[in-house]
Amino acid sequence: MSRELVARARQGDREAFGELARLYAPLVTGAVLSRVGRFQDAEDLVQETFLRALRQIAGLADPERVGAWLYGIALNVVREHRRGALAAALTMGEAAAPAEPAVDDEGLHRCLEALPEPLREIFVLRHIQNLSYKALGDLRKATVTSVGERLWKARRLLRECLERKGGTGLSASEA
Amino acid sequence: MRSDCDETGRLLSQFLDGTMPPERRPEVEAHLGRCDACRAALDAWSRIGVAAVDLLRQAIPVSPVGPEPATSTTRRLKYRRPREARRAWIPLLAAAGILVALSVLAAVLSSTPKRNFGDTARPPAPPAEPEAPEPESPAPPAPQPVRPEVPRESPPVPTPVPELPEAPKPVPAPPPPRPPEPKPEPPRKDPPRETVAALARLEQVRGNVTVHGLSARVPAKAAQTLVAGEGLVTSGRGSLAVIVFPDGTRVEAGPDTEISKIADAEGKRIVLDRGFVEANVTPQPPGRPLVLATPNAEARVLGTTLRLFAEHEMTRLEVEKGRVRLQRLSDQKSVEVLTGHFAVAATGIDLAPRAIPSRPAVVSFTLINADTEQPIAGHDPIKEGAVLNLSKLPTRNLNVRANVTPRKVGSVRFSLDGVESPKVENGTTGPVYSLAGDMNGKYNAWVPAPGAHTVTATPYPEPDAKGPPGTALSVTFRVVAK
Repeated sequence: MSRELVARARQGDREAFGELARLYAPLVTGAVLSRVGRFQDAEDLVQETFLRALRQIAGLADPERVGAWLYGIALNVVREHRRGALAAALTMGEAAAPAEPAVDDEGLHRCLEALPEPLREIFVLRHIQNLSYKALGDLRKATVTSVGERLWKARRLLRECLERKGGTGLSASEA
Repeated sequence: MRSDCDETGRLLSQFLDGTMPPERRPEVEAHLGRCDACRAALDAWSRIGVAAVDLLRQAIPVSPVGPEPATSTTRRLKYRRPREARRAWIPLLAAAGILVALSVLAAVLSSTPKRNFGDTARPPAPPAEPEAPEPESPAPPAPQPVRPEVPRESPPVPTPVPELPEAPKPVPAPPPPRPPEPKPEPPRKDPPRETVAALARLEQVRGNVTVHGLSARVPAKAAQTLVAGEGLVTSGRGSLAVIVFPDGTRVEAGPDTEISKIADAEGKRIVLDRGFVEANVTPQPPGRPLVLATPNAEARVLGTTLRLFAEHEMTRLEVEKGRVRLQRLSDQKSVEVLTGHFAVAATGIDLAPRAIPSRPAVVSFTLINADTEQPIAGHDPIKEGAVLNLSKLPTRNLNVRANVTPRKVGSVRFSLDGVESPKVENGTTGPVYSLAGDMNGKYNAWVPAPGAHTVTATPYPEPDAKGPPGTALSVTFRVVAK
């Protein structure tokens, strides 16, 4: 689906780009927020990330890696924000180079496999189907609170697993 | 501190899913500011999330609830990346997809018709993935998982980009291999998609209008639906957005208006942060009034036609027809405003309703920051005898806007210190009338000299100060520069 959205966005379809941004905004926001610490700043930088992405989407080499590509742009935006160079970059229309993919696919696969089934199921359905907590709860006969707990645990376990495996990109935070 | 981190971690996990309660935001933000571990966790989860979305969307084609029944077994899950073998958990996912499909189908079938407002709550989900060549190892038959439109109880996913710049240049190279374009779909006969969170629809959009969620914005389009928690911003003099609810209630957002949120809990709720809305409210169910909330007042409506103007410290309500209760939040005083009356909720102004004058009237002045086009806090409205300290104001580039009733008058003539402005404000780019005027819809800057100044504004029913003058208003203030 992302591939198709990217293809449409590259041809100027704003709606497709908007849908891509809807899909990835929470995750990109998380990436930014973890670096700047303030929601207010994060919101501005997320917007800047998507503005850049819109300008540069024609240059996206692998449409299937749109998430990692957005993540790379977000990191660049944060770096520039920290250097105070954002304004200058905006003026000059500087293009941000995508960073390397953040997490290795194979490692993530292995860690997903290792995740306890109830957690994996909730995590996967949440990410691929974008189901609400309530919908997930209805599906698994769990409370909304329980769904939130499972997602939290799933994220913690995935992170621990990826860090144990090493070389997954998780240990290499931004420069 | 471990428990602090655990609690914050739970909230950050919810944040990534768009479900963190907004009232917890300050506390989480404060914790993030001092806790490296939580920042690192958020970063890691975010990166994992990005990778997982990429990975899973490559592995599992996602289809909307399409013409094919969700329980069909004719579709197959395809693993699109030849280098990867099918993982053991993929079939499990397929099974979960069946459950999702059945669950959503059941929910849709049992939902009440009025909740299924608008077939296009979101940009339509992409068409089902076309039948790609079979992968190396055929997948077991499985139905397509169902992609519901919007999470029900969660706030909207942060939406992107407030004001998009110029359109991206068309890609000169041929696009990547694309499946055959899906044929235009005939009207669907299948169960409606899960659009329970769609509260209203944008009937009309004019000028620069964006819809926003938690962190970013997208350009608004006519026929787009709004879900709980979403809001919109209109920018520029000619901008306009018309929101229509399923019951026919119609809310028109005027230029430079920000509606931060719409919701429907104990009745419809529209949070107007600034600007102007005109609402035609159909009769609401008993006990579930439509609430129009501004930063300093709330108007409770059971069915009426009204206009509401909101700035930082002033809310003006005009009731064309019906009855509305307006409550000033600073002291909780409230007043009932009846047909043909208006009331102003602001500190220092009597809350009592007054008849809307048959002739135009200037009711107050607002000090405008010409750099940002926004009212300046503390001077909205400008109080008689106010002191404007240029060294403390956010800018020296000022303007003074006359607030008039009705919202649009023929023209307004200003005078400064007894000298009439040669130019009459006709409000041609929008019903905005200001002392220094505007250029292409942007406020001109007025840098006042220190000393006492009196601004007078006289409204007229016709352009170019023609017709019998309405009720003029003057305000005197002192400008200091230290």
